[in-house]
Amino acid sequence: MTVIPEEDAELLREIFDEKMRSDVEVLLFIKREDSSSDEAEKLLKELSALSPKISLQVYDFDKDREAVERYGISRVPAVTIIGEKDYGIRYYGVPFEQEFETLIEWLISVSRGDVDLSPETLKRLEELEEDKKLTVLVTYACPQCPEVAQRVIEFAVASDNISVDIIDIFEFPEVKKDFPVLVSTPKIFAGNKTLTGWRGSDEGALLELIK
Amino acid sequence: MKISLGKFRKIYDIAVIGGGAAGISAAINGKAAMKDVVIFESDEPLLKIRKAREIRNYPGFPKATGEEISEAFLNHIKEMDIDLKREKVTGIVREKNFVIYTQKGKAWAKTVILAVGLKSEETFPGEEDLLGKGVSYCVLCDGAAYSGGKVAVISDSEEGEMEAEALKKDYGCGVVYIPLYELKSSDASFSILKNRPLAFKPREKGVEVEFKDMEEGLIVDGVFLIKQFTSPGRLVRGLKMRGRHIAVNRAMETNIPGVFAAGDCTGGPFKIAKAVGEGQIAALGAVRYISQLDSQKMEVKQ
Repeated sequence: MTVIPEEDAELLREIFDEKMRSDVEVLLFIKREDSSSDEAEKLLKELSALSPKISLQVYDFDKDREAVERYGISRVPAVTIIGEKDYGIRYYGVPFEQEFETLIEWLISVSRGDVDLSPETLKRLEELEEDKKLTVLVTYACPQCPEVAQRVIEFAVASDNISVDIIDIFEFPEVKKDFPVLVSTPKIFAGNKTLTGWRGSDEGALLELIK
Repeated sequence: MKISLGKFRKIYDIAVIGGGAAGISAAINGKAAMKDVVIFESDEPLLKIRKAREIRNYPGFPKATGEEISEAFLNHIKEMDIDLKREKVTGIVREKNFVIYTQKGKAWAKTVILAVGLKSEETFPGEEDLLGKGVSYCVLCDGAAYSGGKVAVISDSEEGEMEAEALKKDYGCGVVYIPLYELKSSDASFSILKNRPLAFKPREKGVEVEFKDMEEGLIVDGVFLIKQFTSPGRLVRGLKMRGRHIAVNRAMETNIPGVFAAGDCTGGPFKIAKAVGEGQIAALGAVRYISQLDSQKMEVKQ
């Protein structure tokens, strides 16, 4: 049985055909005999078959250590998408349910290499000199999370100084211990600064966070 | 394993928030202009009008009961095949389109008409400060964050009982349920505390819920507040209010482009005819706004 129903597959073919520009490579890091890894692999195999512009490369976390280290992968399953370059975006978990939309928007942004941010925001991102690492905590079922994750991905695509880890805390509940404040999703961490809830999708609030 | 593609599949032209006279009128007028319209209403539509024993000042109905007028309104939206979703809206955010979050999921629309009526939202001292730091309004969003922990669910309706069950079953939480209404069922699988909270305070790990006549409060990892009504100012980020009312101009436009308001939520007089008229003006404004969006898109393409 397929994960992506034919009706959705047809829609996705149209979206990719209309919106994607250059080829992208989806990199998936997995462990063998891990049910989440199996789910992620099945989903991404089906997805990559929907457009000739998408290719999939699967790495074994235990065996392919060179790739794991090159991309700085810390846990599995992990997904990253490479276009003209590596935009420094890593997704930890299986991007399904609500987060499937994040995956689709991410593919399109990387393929196009451009984003739909305001001219003011793009100018501020160009002026950014320091490297900024953002961590976004989401759950696949959280309805507010995709807008926040997608906005942060746009920031990372627009600026070489921004890298992002998006972590599904349902898949990795232990990460809650790594953060200094009580967790609710969506939540963005930038150093010791945080942004909670819908405000994470606000360009102005995100610019403040990385200032 | 399921996937969601909602934002790529269905974008309404007009989302009407509230199923009272103003909301129904807005939906009818939007649909009459060939727009794709949805109404969100968590309660019975037209509940307030339905309760009126006699209405004598609505044109065409010299001596009608509230039941008769509301039936006529509801038949009208059925006749026009307008989508009525019995879902509570928990937030609205402006992206490329408006994202309307509900307790069951979300929807997308080009414009929003707020016809939410006029009620007061009870807020507790400490609630705003602890939002996202131990206080949450959404089990679907934040349940996982408290998995295995101890939580309090405070609710002004029976809806909270379902949320408490979900926290217990889906996330393995220890739940203390605090009803702000008369609890009917007694076979709940979680503990019940019938005492009205006074305030929330931050604790080193979690939140303390304070009560009247209780020396020590209840310390939990998180508090879920399940409310029937959210004030428009909190529902839509950046919405300008004028006291308890939404600030609008004569075209029923709010300060946010694409967001309109109509009915009691914009102020008195609190009459059906006024609500219906404002609903119509708001819908016409929304239709005009969509035309402007469409012509901008055309210009970009050319």
